[in-house]
Amino acid sequence: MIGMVDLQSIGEDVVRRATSEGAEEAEAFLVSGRRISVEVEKGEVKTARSEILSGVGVRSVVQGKVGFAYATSLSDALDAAVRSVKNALASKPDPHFKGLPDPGRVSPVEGLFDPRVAELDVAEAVEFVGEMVSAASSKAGVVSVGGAMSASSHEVAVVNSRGVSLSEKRTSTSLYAFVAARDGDKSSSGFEINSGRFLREINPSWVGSQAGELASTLLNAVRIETGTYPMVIDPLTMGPFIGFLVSAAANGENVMYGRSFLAGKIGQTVASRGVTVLDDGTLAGGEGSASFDGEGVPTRRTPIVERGVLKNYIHNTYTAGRMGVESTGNASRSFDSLPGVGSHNVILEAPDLEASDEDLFDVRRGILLKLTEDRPNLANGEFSGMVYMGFLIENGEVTTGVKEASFGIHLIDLLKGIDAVGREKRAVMGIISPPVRVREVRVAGPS
Amino acid sequence: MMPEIERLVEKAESLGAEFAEVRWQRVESTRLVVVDGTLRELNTGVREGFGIRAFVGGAWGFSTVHGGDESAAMRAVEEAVRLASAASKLKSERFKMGGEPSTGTWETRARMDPREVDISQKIDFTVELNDSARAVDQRVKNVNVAYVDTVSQERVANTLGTRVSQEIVRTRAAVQIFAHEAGTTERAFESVGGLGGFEVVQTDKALAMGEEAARRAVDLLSAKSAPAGPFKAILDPKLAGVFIHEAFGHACEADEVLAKMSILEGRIGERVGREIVNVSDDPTLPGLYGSYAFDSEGSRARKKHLVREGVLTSFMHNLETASRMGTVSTGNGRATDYSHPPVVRMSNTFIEPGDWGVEEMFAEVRDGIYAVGSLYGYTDPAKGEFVFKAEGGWRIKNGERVERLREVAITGTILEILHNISAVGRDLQFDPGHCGKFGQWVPVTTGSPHILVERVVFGGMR
Repeated sequence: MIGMVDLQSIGEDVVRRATSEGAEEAEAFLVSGRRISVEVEKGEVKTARSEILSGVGVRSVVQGKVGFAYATSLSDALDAAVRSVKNALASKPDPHFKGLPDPGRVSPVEGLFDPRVAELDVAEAVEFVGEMVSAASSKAGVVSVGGAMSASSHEVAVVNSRGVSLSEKRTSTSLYAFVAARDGDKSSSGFEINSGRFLREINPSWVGSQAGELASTLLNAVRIETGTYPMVIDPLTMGPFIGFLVSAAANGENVMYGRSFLAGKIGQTVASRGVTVLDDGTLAGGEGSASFDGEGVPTRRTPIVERGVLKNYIHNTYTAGRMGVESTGNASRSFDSLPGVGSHNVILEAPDLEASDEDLFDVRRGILLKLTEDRPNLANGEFSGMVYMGFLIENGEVTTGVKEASFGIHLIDLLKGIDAVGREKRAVMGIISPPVRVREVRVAGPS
Repeated sequence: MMPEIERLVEKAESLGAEFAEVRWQRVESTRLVVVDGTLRELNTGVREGFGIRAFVGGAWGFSTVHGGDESAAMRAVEEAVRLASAASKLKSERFKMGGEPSTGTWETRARMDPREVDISQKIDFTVELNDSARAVDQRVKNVNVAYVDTVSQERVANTLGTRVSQEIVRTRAAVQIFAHEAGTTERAFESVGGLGGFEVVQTDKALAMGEEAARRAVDLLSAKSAPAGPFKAILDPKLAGVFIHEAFGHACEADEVLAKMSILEGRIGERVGREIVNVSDDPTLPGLYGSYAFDSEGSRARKKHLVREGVLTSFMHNLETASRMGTVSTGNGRATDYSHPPVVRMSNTFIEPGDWGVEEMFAEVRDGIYAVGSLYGYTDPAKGEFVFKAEGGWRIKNGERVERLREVAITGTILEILHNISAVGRDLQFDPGHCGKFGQWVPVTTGSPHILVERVVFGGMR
């Protein structure tokens, strides 16, 4: 569907229309594209989907009052422009709104579009998931393989009345497997995912065999006693840790409103001295990369934690204006609401703490956390969650799965407790990190 | 203006679909967000389009187009049939889509139709709710109030002969508070929502929820981290409602059962809990946020007893799972909107009331935890493990609340937990929320009275 419409020119029409209706400033955000997906149930394809991605959101400003309107159909774009002006007139002044961003110098980021993803046919996606399913099914005890593959290609455009007029084509694709295993009364599950902007980043047999192996091994999971353990966190599950740190805790909006435990902590030590965490929207080929953000501001590379010290928050134009800093190009956007603040690629670097796998796992008794779906408490930074998938480490060896275990630690204590990281980084859904070892984590068993 | 969708169904059938369904939907919504007294967002939106499903050779094709153009929808019908054929290449299980046709029309009776209520009235409500929370205490640091109303017109037709049109109106308001004192920040959340118009947020409870949440956030400032390990516990209705939804409801969804992802597979008729435990899913309860008259497939909504006197009695079905398991749809086929296919979802899911008073339950606890409020929860239905997060709680000693506790995680297993419920209160309460599954969010209500659990594992910080 890409190329069928000129999104930028629709955006310019929308901005003109809003201005002629009385908007002093106006902005259009548009998206157009297509997405296909194939869903797997019990090892077979259940549903093949194809959807057209389409939407337009319009922000208008009248006398310091902001109004917003959206439509899913681009043929309703001018109607949305009119409604947004009407909403601005009905709204109340926002004293902290300092205006829409001026045009910036945008340097195109390489590697955001893969024609193979854009042209991927459902029949090819069916072959991909077939490979994933056979790899997973070959593992002992596997009774059911679920998962999905999706491929989307879309163009986004941002146009505003200050002269911003940008568009960019991007692709993204992912394949995940969720596997159940059973052996008599014992049951377990396993998970794995590949994702990225390029089709070559998807390895279906690897995803299937990893998830299958995980489920199979976890069949023999044991309960553990409550205590304090060293914990190695797998890159697969860094999202609730460093992903949360940047996208939620260092989020300029959460900081500005005092919702985040990181508010007021710039310059303080929040992590082990060897640890640096960055947000980078400019990384070539990065899953979270873009040449400009949801308001048309150029993306950049922002150090969040530098050698253990909190350096920056991430901002859009509104939060930056209110906190008296520059936007970091982190306006996150969907066509149906005002810009929020979100991370691009979150990267953990700790060169001084790098260790071989042998050294990383060299603990007497510890936990390897493969997956948790919990997240920290934004207000106080405490993180208690379930060891969804995890293993016991005994005398340097990953020995057996653990079940019914949960962990609890403050996110800052966790970051300060990092005493080693693996040598190999892995990118999972825009988070790029090696495995990380934390000295001491409270882990509760059922007894 | 509702498009004629019957022709699209006929087209799918003529192209070889064994079963086909066409849904058209137009949703108008208003969303307001007030933060610390400032109106940050006044947003009105229109979502309109077709969602088309075709069933060929045991597999599904699903396609979506936006807008109300019937010729674009006709192309989407062709696409759906083509997708189903492609998908059926990796499908050996064959079944016939069956079921009775369903016909009817239904409209939400909104006393104050959101389309008739002036925007200034909605703004005033949202701003005043925000003000009421800020006035509670100086330690209230950040007050967020959101108001959302949606009017959804829907039509669905399928090859079984189903022809349903409905108009669903929902209104919801939510408050999130952050309180701060001496380096400590805590939060609390309250929401009110239901089927209906602006009247849903004009109740005493709705108007007082800003103050209520603000007080709770301030109270949490003096709370301690929860202890870790197994405890006897009392769960408040909010938490127990989310608990029954997460820990049990998801495992009763027939698509999870068919996918071999539910620990409850093959256990209908088995005892899963004590006799005092009764669990139901009922979309017909008037005015609740998860209520509806017809589901997204056009099947009529009805009440299901999932657990009766401790025995597992029923799963929840949509047309597909009912066809595969030789039964009829229970009216649980729901989709976020036209751009998603209907899957098996809960509606208003709750523990039926028992005969205990709350004070009687406290008297039963010598050393335990009273867990209150809910942040979120999730479950691994294959393994039968669940986790949910309470907003806070109290340490109980000899029946008395002795120490306030912060956010706690509670974990357990589906097959054990209902056997550990030793008392069910009389005070059934409902709370609105959104449940996510396969990337789709639908409005639901969770409900429960206070319950006493003999043993539950807390994942605390100490």
